[in-house]
Amino acid sequence: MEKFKTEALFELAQKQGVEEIEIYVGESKSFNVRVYDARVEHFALEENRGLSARGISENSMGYIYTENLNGIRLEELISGVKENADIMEASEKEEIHFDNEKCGKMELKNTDLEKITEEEKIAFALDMEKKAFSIDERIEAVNYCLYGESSGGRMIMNSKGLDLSEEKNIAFAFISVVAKEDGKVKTGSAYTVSNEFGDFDAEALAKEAARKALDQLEAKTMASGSRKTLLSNEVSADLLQAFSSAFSAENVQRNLSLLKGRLGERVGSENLAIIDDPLLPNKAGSRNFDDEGTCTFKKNVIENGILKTFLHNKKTGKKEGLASTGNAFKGSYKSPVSIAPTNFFISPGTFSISEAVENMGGGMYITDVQGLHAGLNSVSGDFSLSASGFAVRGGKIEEAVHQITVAGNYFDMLMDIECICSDLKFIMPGSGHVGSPSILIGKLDISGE
Amino acid sequence: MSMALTMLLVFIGGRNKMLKANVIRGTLDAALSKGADFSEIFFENKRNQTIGLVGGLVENTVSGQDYGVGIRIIRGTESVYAYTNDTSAEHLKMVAEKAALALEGKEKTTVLDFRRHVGTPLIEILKYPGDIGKKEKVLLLKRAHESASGFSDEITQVRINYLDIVQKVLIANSEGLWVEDERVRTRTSIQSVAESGGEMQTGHFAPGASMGFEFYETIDLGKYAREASEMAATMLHADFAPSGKMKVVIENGFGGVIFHEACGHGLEATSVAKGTSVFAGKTGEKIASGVLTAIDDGSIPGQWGSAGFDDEGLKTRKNILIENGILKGYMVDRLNGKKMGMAPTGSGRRQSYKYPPTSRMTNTYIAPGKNSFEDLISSTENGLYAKKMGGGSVDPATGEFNFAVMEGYLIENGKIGKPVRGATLIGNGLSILKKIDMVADNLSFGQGMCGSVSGSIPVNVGQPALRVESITVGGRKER
Repeated sequence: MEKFKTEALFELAQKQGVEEIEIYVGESKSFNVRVYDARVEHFALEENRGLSARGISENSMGYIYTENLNGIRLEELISGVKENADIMEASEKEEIHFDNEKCGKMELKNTDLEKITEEEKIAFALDMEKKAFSIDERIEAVNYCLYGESSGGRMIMNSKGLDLSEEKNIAFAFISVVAKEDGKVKTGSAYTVSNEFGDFDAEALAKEAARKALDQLEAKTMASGSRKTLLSNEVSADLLQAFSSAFSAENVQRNLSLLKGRLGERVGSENLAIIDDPLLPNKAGSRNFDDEGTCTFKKNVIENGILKTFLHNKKTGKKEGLASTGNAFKGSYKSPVSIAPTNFFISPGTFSISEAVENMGGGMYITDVQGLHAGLNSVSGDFSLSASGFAVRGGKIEEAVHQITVAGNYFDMLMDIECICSDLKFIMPGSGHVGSPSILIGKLDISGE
Repeated sequence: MSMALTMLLVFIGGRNKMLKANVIRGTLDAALSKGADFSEIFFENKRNQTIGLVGGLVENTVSGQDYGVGIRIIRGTESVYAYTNDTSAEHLKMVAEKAALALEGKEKTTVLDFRRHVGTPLIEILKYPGDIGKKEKVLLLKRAHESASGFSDEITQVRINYLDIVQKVLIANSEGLWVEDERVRTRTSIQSVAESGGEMQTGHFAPGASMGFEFYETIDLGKYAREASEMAATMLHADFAPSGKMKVVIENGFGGVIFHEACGHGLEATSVAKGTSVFAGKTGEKIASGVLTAIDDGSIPGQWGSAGFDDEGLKTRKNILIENGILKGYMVDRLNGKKMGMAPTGSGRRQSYKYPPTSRMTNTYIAPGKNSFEDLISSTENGLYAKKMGGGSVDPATGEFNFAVMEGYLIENGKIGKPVRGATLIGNGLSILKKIDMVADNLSFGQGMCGSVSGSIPVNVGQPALRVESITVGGRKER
């Protein structure tokens, strides 16, 4: 990334009564391509750059950001910081930090990805669409088929001496197909997220999406009742992502987490371990330093079912006399510093799906849930979600099931994990990159007819 | 000295002016340089302010400026989109030329003379957010906090998030369209948490409008704050919702989320154009119960989902989607309209310059019917009264949708009974529309953010209370 010289800004900040100031710059260049009907239907070229400043005035922190970097006026930037700081009422003194630590230098940018030409990437997307149609004549349409990649960086500099920058790149592919038979319609989708082009397998993605749609064509609903339930790796990761806010010390301290006061206690089954690992190669959540410049490291958040730590930034750590866990996070240059996991996942076990199903005997295998932004409450832990999957009888996966809901309480569910499979999978990155293997739950509530 | 630094230190005057006509013409021209039918530029300059209170104290506040240009090029039904934050004439030209390379054609179109249109606002903004002191905004939120936290001893936390936006846009295209529009919006969300015996429940309310700070003179924010707390406290002592298929009465206002998910998304040209919507090819057919009339209207003054012009520069208008159960039309944007052979309906929307526009909902609602709310309840022997709703989602290709009930009550012997906790309701759009058998006369709106291919945009959902004769309720209690 291009370096910013900041002396003038830091000097002016002092003059205007902003004691300490920090600049955060985020930038990215992306392209993505959507194919339809064997041609490029949509092509996008994106370049994004924004700057935010945060600064301390009378012990409070104010934030401001802009995307108009050509027209920045320093005085205005600083007075904006000051005005916002002036209305803050944080109970404690806020700080800007410089620890002068040497963070690791794991390479996050795979330059090999840039060596693959745009044409090859477009050809990959076209091939993926073609393969989807060739799998089964019941594949009626490929309604989304895309490849995209983004390369960018972030840079943090402050008046105490912090000066860090990091670049990374990531690519993704997504396909969604529509299967049709006798007036019945089902969709299925699949994706890959990685910065290693070799991880993108057009045939595997097309097959996975097609199988998901085809498997559900004959689906029926089922009777309501409580059942043993196997959650697929993607579904379990979806839930973990939705409830990951409960592990944020910010939410704990704000009285918005049911895990408050539970450190050192059993909060999950004995076989449960949850890990936050910022240093995994090719993973979207990896980073050498967090958004306050703290060096990141691997942590066991839950070990043998015992809650070991919350995720902290500097501010929440200080409140409890603890160090930051390197989880300070800004969604982008637009957001204030908050807390989020990095690569956050349930540690895989040893069971295969068929062993888990055999252990279950009878119940439900859920392979898809919908409406995650609405059907769950991250504070209470309650969830009720539209779902589909398969009935399980006599230790075998039987007929497809749809138009049901699965409901329960996430914190109760963590205590009721009967076995953990080996099929760890990471889902599309959100705030943090979350993964899980498939997990078997003792009892969840299924509603159908 | 690097470029970036030079720009940072030079204080450029007039930086918030809209782009000049010759820059726009040059960019549109460059976009057509490799042969295309159409080029468009979307310039956005948006100021926003957020203030967050936790426990009655201001915990975060951000002022920001979103600023950038999106360039769209269309040839036939193929499109290219590019965006950048660097709006200098040379850079825009370079981006446009680079984008043009992705769409090589033969015929070069020329840019027609601009016909300038500066939008007359749908509603006069009386108090621009920027003219109101931040302390005055904080005062408003503190009063709301008092109302929420004072509701009962069980309320252990209240979070309030305030937002105001002034979005200026300039949309110009190679057909000579030139539209300038300004959208002013404000919203305050209140979340209350009630806690007792190791359990927590939440309540939520988030009123918003396309208005300035005067919005808060037209509503009683304290009343909404108390309602959020009442909901949290009620749910703390509520039993699980029932499970299985039953009759459900859905309250007015945000209850309209059922139509938004069950049908609205399926009527957006985004999914109709490819024939993958369950509603594709069904205009003129009876797709819903005869008591159902549904409308999308982006031109209602002051409403959260309104704007004078859409994000393709067309005037917004009232579009009748379903009339007495008959499908009348879709919500259509320019590109999908071309694919479908239909005229656009002022429905092209996008979150920001970062997204190409596509057909989206604005203020979508079910028209009032003839029954009273009491009729709906008294004619339902047993079922669920869904009083407060959350969001939902849909797969337009299958029509399978879901939405969340946040606060419910049992209906027993035609009367509203005990409160029950949240549950998700699921169904299939085509079949559920035929099962709406009663519509009340008490239309109102609720505000939400709708996420889809062109980003997250403000929308209203609305309806009078209505009854669905049978829908699956995802509760946790067998009946």
